[in-house]
Amino acid sequence: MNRYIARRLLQFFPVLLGALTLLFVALFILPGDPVQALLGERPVPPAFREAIIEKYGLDKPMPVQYLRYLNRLAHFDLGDSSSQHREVWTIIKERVPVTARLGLAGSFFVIALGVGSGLISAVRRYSWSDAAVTVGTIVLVSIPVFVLALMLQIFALKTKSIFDLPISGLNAGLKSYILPGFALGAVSSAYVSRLQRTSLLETLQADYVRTARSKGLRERRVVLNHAWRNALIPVVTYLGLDIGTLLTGAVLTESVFNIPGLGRTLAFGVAAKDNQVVLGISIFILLVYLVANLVVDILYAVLDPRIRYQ
Amino acid sequence: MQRKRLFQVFAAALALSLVAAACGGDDGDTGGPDGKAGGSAVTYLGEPDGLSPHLCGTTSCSEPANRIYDSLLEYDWKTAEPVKTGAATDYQVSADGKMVTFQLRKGATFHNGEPVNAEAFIRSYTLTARKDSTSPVAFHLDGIKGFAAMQEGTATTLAGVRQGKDEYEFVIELESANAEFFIRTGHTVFSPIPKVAVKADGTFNPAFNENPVGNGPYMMDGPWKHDVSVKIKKFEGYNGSVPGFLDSIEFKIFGGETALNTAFLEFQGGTIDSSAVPADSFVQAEKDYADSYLEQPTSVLTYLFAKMTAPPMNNVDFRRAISMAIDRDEIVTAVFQGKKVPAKSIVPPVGVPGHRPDVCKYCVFNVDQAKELLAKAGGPKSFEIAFNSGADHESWIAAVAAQLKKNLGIDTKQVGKTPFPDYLKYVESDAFQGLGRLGWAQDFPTIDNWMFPLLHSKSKPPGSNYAQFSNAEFDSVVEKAQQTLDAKERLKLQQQAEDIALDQMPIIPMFYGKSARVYNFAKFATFPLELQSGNPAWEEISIK
Repeated sequence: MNRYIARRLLQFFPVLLGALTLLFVALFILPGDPVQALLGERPVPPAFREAIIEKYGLDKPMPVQYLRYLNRLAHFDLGDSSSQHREVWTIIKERVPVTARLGLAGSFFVIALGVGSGLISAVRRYSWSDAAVTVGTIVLVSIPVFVLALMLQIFALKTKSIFDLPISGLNAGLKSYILPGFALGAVSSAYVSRLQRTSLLETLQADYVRTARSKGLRERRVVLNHAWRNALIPVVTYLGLDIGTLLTGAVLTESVFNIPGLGRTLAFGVAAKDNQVVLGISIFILLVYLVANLVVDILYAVLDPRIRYQ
Repeated sequence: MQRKRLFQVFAAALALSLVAAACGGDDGDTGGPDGKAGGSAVTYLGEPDGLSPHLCGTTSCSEPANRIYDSLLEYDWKTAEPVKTGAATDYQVSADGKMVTFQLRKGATFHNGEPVNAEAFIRSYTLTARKDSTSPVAFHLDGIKGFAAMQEGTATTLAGVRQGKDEYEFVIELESANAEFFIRTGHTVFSPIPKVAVKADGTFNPAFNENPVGNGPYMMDGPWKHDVSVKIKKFEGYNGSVPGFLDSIEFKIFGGETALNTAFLEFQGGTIDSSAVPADSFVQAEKDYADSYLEQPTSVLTYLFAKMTAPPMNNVDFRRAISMAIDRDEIVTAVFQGKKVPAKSIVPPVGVPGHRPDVCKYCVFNVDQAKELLAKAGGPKSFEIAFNSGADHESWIAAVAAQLKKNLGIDTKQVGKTPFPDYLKYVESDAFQGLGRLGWAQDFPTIDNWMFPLLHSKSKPPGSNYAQFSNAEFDSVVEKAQQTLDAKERLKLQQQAEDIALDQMPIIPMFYGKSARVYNFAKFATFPLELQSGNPAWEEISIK
């Protein structure tokens, strides 16, 4: 097992380098003028353009810029943001906790709503609760995250006297993450719910479940301790992949709810042609993705003793 | 393309204060000397581009920055005229218009106790003009002696700024005569900076941008929390004449495409005291907040310039004909649902002293006269209209094209280019010979800022005179105005320049933007807006 983990960790480097190269090339090729981006529609004074080019080395050929970037990266220097006038690392440090909390809130809703409702609808197949869950998931899947977020804001405004949920920002402490977390997790929870339902229904047909029942175990024990453990495997796979959705969906949620997280910063960086920010945050997100998938793979071994690694 | 930037720079920008205006019923009287001191406010702000004077180019940063810093002069919130309530108590322009001497207010200090003397201004302008400062607003200093050398990187001291007879006298020397240069000094970039803003080698200390130290009536209450808030509180050691009433102001920062939407929701929920209103909610806000709804035009002009270097746009009658065949009111109603103001002059109806309404006689919609002019010009049956695509111009340009077809029988090819620098390159090239869309937001409240940068022959690209307008009479009137010391005479000349431009129609003014604000009517005794910027005049605002 340890060898497996070590090997996976080593694989991080080529993956990171490959992704970084692709991203660098893509940013370079993309049309757009980072100098003009700093000034909106204002004409760019030639002296200013020259000064920016000199400062960021923008006139060097791409391979040179690429190698300079790698060199700085090796010294753990992520560069300066041209739009925020401060170090990219400072920006990331500031925003990671925010996006992490938002991601956690989102994951909480995905798991609580998704797994919970999937479980219920599988156990009570074809009942009213099953129908309700089906309708609910279809509705949630159909609404774009953006629209859902806007609707939730209006909901917060209208129910201010009852729930006092913040409309935007992080000023209300942990309460601020409730609505954004729900918006973020809602769509994924719909998929998870269907997945969980199908998976559990299938597992409940298995032989060992029949054996457990005929042994006289209570139904709850049969379902939760025996069937569910196996039914969770596809769900966990999906959740591992879904980290990406949570992070990218976070862009829209963070935008609407005015939350200063990584996703939004990344989007703004792309719009402002602030390549340092885009590269820096992308590397970070990539690392998170790699670690998350590694954790998921390890979880398999925990959940299903049949899956062990040589 | 850069919609977020466009939105920030234009949409939320400059507005009128004169509040007997079109809507509510608020008469906007000032807090005056009778205003009650104390209280705090929470308000909407877009993310500033920087809080150091050399990095502040948009109204998002000037709203807090103008409270934190006192520039040399200030702009009167009611009239947009330069007044002496800033760091300078008086100023003199030399007879040849090449030098301005400022007397600084004695005893004024920065928030950290450093003195506000000539040295502080020299330090600030030197930093801004340095090439390695990459200041996006350095061009406002263009005209000061030695500026060009600084921008090229061949100098690190700015020759044209120096101390006068003592540390409280500050002198600016210009390359060539500009009797109006002092008007610029109300802009944030002309604020002083303390020693802590620069490192030993003269370069900028980035930490200063996070927690700036200024000389204004308000000081930072904690560092700038990017994308979250900027908090300021009263500076007790301020010795100027306008110390402000409120104890503290929190600027909550809203970003992204739905920023205004969210801010307006927050205002409705009562968590912020004042907010700008998104264009789609103008009607609703006017209805729900009749007492506190402030809607005004902005001093941001959208226009179509005519590339005058080749036919058909080199024919003055053709240009006039086009302008008279466009029904601006119809476009504003149909395409913008009334969210713009049709232009009837070049100089905007707000934010500039000396505006005259309805001076553009060729902006009047008159199909018969347009046809006459077209016949006189013997114009072609088709030409090109270029614009930068992806910035929401498609629909109104299509409406213009439809009107030209209907009223004059002219076909127009609409060419959209993106991104914006590529569009500019295209309209500069010889391949393009038609009308192009551009916008202009004023830098300083003076007619010259609309005449010289847009239409003087010296302002051809890389300047902003994309029309390639080159009229000797216009040039000489503009230059004469720049050398005229008497303000009334100068204004007359500037208005004469505008008349020449409107007679020749190198640019076809289309419309000005509209912006709206709401505020907590129950909380504030008054809520005046600055004429020059459209931002609330926070030093004048007090609670009930």
